[in-house]
Amino acid sequence: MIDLAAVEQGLALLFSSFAPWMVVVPGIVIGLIFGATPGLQISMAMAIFLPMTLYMDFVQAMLFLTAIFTGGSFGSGIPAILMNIPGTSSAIATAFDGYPMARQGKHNQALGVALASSVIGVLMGYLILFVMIQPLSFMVLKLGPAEMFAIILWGMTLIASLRGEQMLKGLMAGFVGMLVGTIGFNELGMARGTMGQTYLLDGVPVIPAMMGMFAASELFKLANKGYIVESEASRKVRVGEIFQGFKMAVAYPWVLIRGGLIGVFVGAVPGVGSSVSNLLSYVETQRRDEDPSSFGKGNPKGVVASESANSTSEAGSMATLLALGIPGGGATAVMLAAFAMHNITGGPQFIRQQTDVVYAIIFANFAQVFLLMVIGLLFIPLLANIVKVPMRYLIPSVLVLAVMGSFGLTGNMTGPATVLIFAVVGWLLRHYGYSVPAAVIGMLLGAMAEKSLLHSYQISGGDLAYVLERPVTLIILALLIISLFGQRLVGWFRGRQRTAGA
Amino acid sequence: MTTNKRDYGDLLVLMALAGFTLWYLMDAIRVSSAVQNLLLILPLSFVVLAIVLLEVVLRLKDGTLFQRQGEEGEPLFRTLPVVGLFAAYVISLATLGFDVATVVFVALFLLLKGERNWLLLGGYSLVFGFGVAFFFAEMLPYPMHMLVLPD
Repeated sequence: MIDLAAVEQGLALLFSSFAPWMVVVPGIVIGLIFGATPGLQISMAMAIFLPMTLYMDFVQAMLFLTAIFTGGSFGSGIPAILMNIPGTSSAIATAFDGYPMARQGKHNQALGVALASSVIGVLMGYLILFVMIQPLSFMVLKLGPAEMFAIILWGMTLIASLRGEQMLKGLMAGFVGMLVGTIGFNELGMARGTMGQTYLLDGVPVIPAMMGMFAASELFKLANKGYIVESEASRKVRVGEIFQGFKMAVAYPWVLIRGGLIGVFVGAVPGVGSSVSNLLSYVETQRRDEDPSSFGKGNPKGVVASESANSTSEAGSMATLLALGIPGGGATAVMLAAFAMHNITGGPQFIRQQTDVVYAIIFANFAQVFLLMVIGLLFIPLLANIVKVPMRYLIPSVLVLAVMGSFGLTGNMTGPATVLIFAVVGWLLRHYGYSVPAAVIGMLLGAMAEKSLLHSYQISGGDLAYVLERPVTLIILALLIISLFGQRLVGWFRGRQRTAGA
Repeated sequence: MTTNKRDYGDLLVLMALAGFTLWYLMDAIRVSSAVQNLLLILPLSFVVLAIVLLEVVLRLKDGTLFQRQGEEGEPLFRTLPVVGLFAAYVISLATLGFDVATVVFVALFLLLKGERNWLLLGGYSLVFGFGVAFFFAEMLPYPMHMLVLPD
């Protein structure tokens, strides 16, 4: 599985000169800034700085881009924790418990937990990639559209059913979100639900909608509060507490490992990646916990689950990129452009012929992990000061950032208008007890689900028996049914046993 | 949380969700009734409508249809001025530009939320508004409409 001669050559590539390392620190800082600024995406940072890689050799270019990726994957968790605005869709689940922790005055610990989980996640992801790059690429090829659709449906149902006693409202929000996600052109060029508006032909801009639903609607709710953290004593930034957060993350090794494994495997599935892995990891952690009701109220395990999964997803998507030449998402799509700029084609050929380069990229990421820890520790105290800002200053500032960021994503007024519309929708849904995360995730997954279902239909010719021939699909569908009705069934059986015993 | 006050909001939101689903389904059928077009939309719409119906029936049975079930929070009307101000800000971007609209929005928000230190109010809204507009205008690859700053 591991080519030792290539390992040696890979190390030589990295350490024969200092040049490859010159770009790593700037890359991490750029990633942190873009990840931590709502509306600025990691893929956007990579695209903006892509032309600079023309002046670098291939290894140096990949180091620079993966450093931006690594910095950004942690950076996006910072506004999720401090402002309830996930910097990117990969940090949605970080906000679920990170933000309640911040509101309880545990912002230092939450940021420490996120940083430690990210650092361990990246390390774990690249370790798995190092050992398994070839078998992993083979496994990814085995997943067809039917499995993808089943994974999406399972993920969606899990998120929607998180609400416990208000499960119906969770499902409603999630499924309506999925319908909204299919607005615009489908794969066959038919435009639905556009009301004749050309700007809806490509669908509802999901990230501005996410900003409106998550951030703006939450800020409306907090408009009459004084501070994010009401108690003055809790607003202090303490490096000691950030280290406490480190310890908290390490105290849950199974959550880290589970998040890491989910991150690598889901991250390797093209088009799914870290947007889904963080949510799946979160839901699995909550489902297996002794006290599931503590999630969403500031349980550090939620932050560990999300951050470990989204960080390991980076390695998963790199596996698909390197082994198959398929980008898993926006960030790896930019990397694919860098491949093309250096006349390199990713895929099995690339792995076989340039194994030393692949190993060099992996080893460089091990080093990036430690640099991320140091740079992250320097950044956190600066950023954590946000809890000291009165809400009357914070709210308009964040709303402005969301509006400008959404303009940055769409390049026209569609972005700000989308933020406004979905802010009002999110505010009403939140007020009446609907799950806003389920609605947002539904929007993210709607188009993806339709595409997978359509491909399955085309492959099978509409024959339902096709599903019966796909064991992985059947297993995932069984898991879906268990997650929907499992607890009720167990309760029903226990009730019957008690009745029989009495 | 449930309150004893009669609240039609919950029912209205349910109706809005069902209404949107029906409208979207009809629109999709109007575009094309081909299986490929309705493969996801048709079954998903039926599921949503069935859940809405189930929710209404269950809530009628419980006698809670006219009670709000949601997070404990302030009444909607108390937040309306903030929502209105934000809407005015987004709408005014096209005319006032990102720079001036942002300065005005931040200043009015501070005023609305009780900031009476005029130096702080004016200083912050000017520095933040122009600063953030300038930053994004420099970072983004396309022109942003400005009234005072260069596009």
